[in-house]
Amino acid sequence: MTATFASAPGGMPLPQGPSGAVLGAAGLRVCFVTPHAGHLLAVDDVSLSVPAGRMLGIVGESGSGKTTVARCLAGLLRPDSGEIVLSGEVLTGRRSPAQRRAVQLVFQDPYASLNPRLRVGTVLRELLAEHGIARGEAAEARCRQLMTLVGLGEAALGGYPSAFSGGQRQRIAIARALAVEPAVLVADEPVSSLDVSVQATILALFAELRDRLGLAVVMISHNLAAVRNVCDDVAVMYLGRIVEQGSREAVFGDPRHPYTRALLAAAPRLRPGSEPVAARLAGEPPSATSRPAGCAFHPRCPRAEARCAVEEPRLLPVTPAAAPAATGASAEVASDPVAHPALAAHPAHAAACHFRDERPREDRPREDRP
Amino acid sequence: MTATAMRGRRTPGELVVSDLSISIERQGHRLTVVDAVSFAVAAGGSFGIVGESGSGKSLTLRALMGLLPPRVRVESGEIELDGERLPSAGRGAGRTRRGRVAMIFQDPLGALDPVYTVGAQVAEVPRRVLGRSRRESRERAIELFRLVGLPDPVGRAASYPHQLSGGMRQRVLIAMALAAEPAVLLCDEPTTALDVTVQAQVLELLDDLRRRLGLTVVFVSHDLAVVRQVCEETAVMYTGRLLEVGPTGELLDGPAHPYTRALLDAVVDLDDPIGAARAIPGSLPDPAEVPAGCPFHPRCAVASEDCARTAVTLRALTAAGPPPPAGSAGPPRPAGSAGPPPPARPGRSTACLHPERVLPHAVTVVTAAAMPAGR
Repeated sequence: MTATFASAPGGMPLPQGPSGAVLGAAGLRVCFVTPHAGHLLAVDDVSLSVPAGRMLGIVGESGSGKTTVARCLAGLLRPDSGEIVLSGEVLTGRRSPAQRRAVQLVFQDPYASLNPRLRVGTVLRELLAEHGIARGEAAEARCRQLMTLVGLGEAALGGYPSAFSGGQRQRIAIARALAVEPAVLVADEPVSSLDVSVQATILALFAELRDRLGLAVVMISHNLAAVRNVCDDVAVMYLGRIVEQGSREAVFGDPRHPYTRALLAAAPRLRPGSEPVAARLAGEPPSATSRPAGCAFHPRCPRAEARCAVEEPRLLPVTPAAAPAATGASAEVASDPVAHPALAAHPAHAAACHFRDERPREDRPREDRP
Repeated sequence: MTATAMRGRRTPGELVVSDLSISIERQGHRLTVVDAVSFAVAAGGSFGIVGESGSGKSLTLRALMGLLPPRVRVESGEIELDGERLPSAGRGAGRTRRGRVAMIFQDPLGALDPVYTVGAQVAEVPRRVLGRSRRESRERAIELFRLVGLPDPVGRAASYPHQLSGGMRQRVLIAMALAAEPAVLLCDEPTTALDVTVQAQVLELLDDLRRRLGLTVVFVSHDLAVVRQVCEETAVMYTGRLLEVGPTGELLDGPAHPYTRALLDAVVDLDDPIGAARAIPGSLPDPAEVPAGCPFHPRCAVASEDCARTAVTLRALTAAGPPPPAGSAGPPRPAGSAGPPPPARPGRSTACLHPERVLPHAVTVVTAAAMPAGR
């Protein structure tokens, strides 16, 4: 079934065939009404896509809207506007059981997301029966298969969640998500509550599932190293918008938004001194209820100029590093808006900054620590 | 500001922990969860304890604070602050630490009372602990908010915890911990719940406060990169035992215990090649089933048969210099007092029988005081 993006910028046709995005979102917008602060625009004009067999990482600070995007994608929250496309089908209204099965969530805390009173096998068998996937001996076989898939022994089926370590519980949570044979996994901070000693294996498991089952995976995380380690594409969010996106190599190797550079500089490293040259960020993200005018990042930005407080930068393609071109206003004229992301299997490297084609050394340190 | 923060009954804050053992009661049995842990932190120093969850690092810290949960008790060992023994439980535990040892926690929201303003909560400390007047205490709270870098300290003092961001709440907790002018600040994963940008700011603040106020800091974390940023010395803990102690940079750059090496290899770091991280095989053993010999040997890549038999304790690590002639492969023999000892690596010790298998040319010697700062 095909669909059209009548409302999508550019109005281009959707891709056809298996190489296209399994899950895409166009112009997502979510507004919460708060009792005191009025309207809170949690997600504003977010477009993204995840093809089968690829993993998209969404990074940002708390309050950046990354979890809200995940909830929209998983169908837990209906966006106020914008479209979500699943395997070429625009999701409107209630999702059908098949559509709900197709997108599964893995949560941050496997301690809280597993029922402590149910054995692992019981949880999985119930799921399989409820969705009419398998019963009886077939269900047993499927349960054993799931355990093998996530790297646990069959004996795990008889255990209660309390008998497992954090990493094992996260594997059980992943098995539960896989039980209904989804096309997409949305993982919200899947390794944040785990010990460093097991984070690597859980990340590797996601990568393995992506490759073996051809899953499309969306991984929400504030952990840049985790995202860099497994994700093919990266989107950086700030105050509800994507401020930079592109392939892992582009975003981590040649970050163009000062916010991305600041995030990379702030991440603790085992070998100090290897941080990129960027000024440490002062202050904390402002609330989405009082979004700064112009570029929302400008009050914290080491590169900000007067125009940043007035003129909001759009998410535009960057000039590749090999061919540094004109900066600032002249580049603006030459650029078209980024091709609709839900259409592109590999999103172009783009940044929402007026100075996206400048080199990082032009970041000036700013002394305004409290 | 610094001067006022320093006044009061501050002592230098030298912390010495010797042979600390802690047990937990489970189904009628007492299980040892911290086993003969010894370390010392010089006044004004910073000491990190890293390990996986369940390693006993948080319980060690809580014992320092005299705040062990029910069914957990100190079995033996001593905690001394500036030469004075701190009782581990009972009424004396709180009294002796009052105003001298303070602690900050991982979850700042859980540690604050939602129905009082943060100003009132911080002001309560000088009033109760130091016996200041209400007015003085209120002013002191605002002064502390300024010290920890809260923007608009006066306005913030009238805020309730839910009105503050995670980073600001952690600053409030640091202010509260400093309100009684302690000599020792205990930190239990204080930045784990924070964003990276805010984490960097809080770590910088802690380091800055330590230097300005001469605080002794003990910092527990599972994040090696964070520990590197704030701790001069670091101990690696596993199944309630210290497996390695040393100056942080040296220890992380050239670990002398396979467990430290394995922890470092498991870290997904921004500077490593993609996919380079390797998880540690197996999992942390249950306290009831800690293996004999070296507790890490079943998961260790370089273990020998000896490791399953010989109980090991921390031994001072010495630099052996260039590789000695053949025959050095065997376990180093504890030399007697005869002969010149090899040059010591100040403050480094390891509980591994074969440190040379992870750190080339490493040799351990048994000394009376294998404690890092005991020398």
